[in-house]
Amino acid sequence: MDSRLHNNDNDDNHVDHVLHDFLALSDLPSLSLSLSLSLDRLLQSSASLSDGDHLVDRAFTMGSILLEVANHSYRNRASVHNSLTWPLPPDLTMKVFSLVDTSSLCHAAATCKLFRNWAKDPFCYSHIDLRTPVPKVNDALVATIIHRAGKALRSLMLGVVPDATTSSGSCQPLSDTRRKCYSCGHKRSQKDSCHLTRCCLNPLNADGGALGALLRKLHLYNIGPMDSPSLVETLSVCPSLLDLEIVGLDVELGCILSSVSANCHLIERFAFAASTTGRNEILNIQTCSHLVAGCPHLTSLSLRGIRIHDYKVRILVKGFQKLKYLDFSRSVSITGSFLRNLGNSNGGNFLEFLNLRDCMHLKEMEVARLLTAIIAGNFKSLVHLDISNREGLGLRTDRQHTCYSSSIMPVKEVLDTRPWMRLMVDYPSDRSNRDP
Amino acid sequence: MSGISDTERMITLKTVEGTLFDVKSSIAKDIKTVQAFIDDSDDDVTSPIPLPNVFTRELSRILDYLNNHHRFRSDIEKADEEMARYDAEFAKSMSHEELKALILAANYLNVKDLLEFLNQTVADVIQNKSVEFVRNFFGIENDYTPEEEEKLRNENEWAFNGVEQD
Repeated sequence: MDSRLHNNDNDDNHVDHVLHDFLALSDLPSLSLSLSLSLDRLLQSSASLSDGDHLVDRAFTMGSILLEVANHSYRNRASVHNSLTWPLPPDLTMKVFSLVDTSSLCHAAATCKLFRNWAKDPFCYSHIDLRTPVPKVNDALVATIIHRAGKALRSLMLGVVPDATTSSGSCQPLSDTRRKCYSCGHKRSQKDSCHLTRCCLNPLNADGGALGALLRKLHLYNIGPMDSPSLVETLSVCPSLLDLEIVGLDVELGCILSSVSANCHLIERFAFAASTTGRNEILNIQTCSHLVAGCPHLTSLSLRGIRIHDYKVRILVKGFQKLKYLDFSRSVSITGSFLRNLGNSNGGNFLEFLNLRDCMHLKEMEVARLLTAIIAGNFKSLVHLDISNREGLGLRTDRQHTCYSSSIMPVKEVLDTRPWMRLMVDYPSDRSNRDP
Repeated sequence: MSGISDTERMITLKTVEGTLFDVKSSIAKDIKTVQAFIDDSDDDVTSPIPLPNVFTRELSRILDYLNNHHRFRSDIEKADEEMARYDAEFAKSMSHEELKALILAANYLNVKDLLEFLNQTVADVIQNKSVEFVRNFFGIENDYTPEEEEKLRNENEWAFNGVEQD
């Protein structure tokens, strides 16, 4: 043993010397030429043709071994360099990784080994963001990522968001049909080639909903094949849900709200925007009162582009004691009468944000009433109010100027009393230009 | 809650370079490492608290941030808006090196809000960027073999489709 070790040491020493001398060869005037000449001389002095072949083979082998060894050392040194350069300790890095969308996390993991190792931690996947501008995520990928998160899972955002909220950088070029679809404004009808199916949330339901139970936030966008039964099944295993957003899905709002009332008692935010396929979302009174009873912590409610009558909205606003954020924009039925005598201890007292933009039946009279109530000191927490309307209020064809000076719309007085308030009152300045 | 008065107790902090900063105790509360030091010492803290890991440039930025946020919070009406504007400016004003140094200082001092904000700033840098951009921005070198890199990209093919143009 000893002598062998001794021999190895000798060999090592020898290799060190040879390599040192070799690497120390001066580059000038031309190392390439002098090596070439040197090899020629060795070949000339070689005894036979096969000896010569052997020499050339050795030159190839040694050359590629040296290249490999150099690459290996380079990568090792790069790894060391990276660990010295990257400023954040592992816990902070993983925190950062949990803040970026899942696609960006994959990119980060491909940056260097250090990142890849950290990106294996389930915590990095606690907030899964698989929203993409065009459909390119399928059920299998969703399942993989959800399982990477495992017990760390807290939030899931999924679906197609053509707007700029996700990247422009990771956009694929739009196909012609899609481009056409975008340009005519049907942003929420990307059902054709979406690779997600109605089963895409099934990983949450598995094992009696073990993963669903962890979920705090679920946002779904334009997942065409998703249907009410599938979504209801998933919601039934998500009792910890605080934030639910559903945009452009072909699901029945009534069904979803019933499921939320029955299962998600902690929910603080519910946002729904109807798909443009034109389903008439009709909510019955019972659904509204169940929602109020089942979800006492709701502070933010957004039901965009749906048919809901004022007296039902009133049930909701009066029922949700903690309501701060209310968005009924693009409603096809609201007149604004639900706001009468609210903004005080009757309800809506804590409302900070109210959006009634483009509610096609919003009445000027009701808006005027609301503004008067604000001047009188009701809605004391309100800081943002949007009553803009691309059709004008109450189907009147007023010019903007007329609206402002209108004695029944005390816009200026509101701003005098509450200069900090963000009051959005944009009306078509000239309808004949807009609707030729 | 505001608690800012002329008679408020002041605490002195000392950076690596020896620069002294006088800080209101209401501000010091947000600097958890300092607060822990105060809580641990029995007597009133009269001599400067040494911060052996914090440089003057970073401490001055951190105090700027905290002072401004305190000021915003005392003015309810415009708080969110002004704070957002201030934060955006704050993030923009930093080079990568300064950002790094500030994160380490905020981490050491355990200033929770600022740290969260800075984490988000770093996340914004990584969000939707190509591998090459992230490497360049943070001075990271590629330590993958071409085969390893290829494999990683294939495993997450969906994420790499069409991102390379930036």
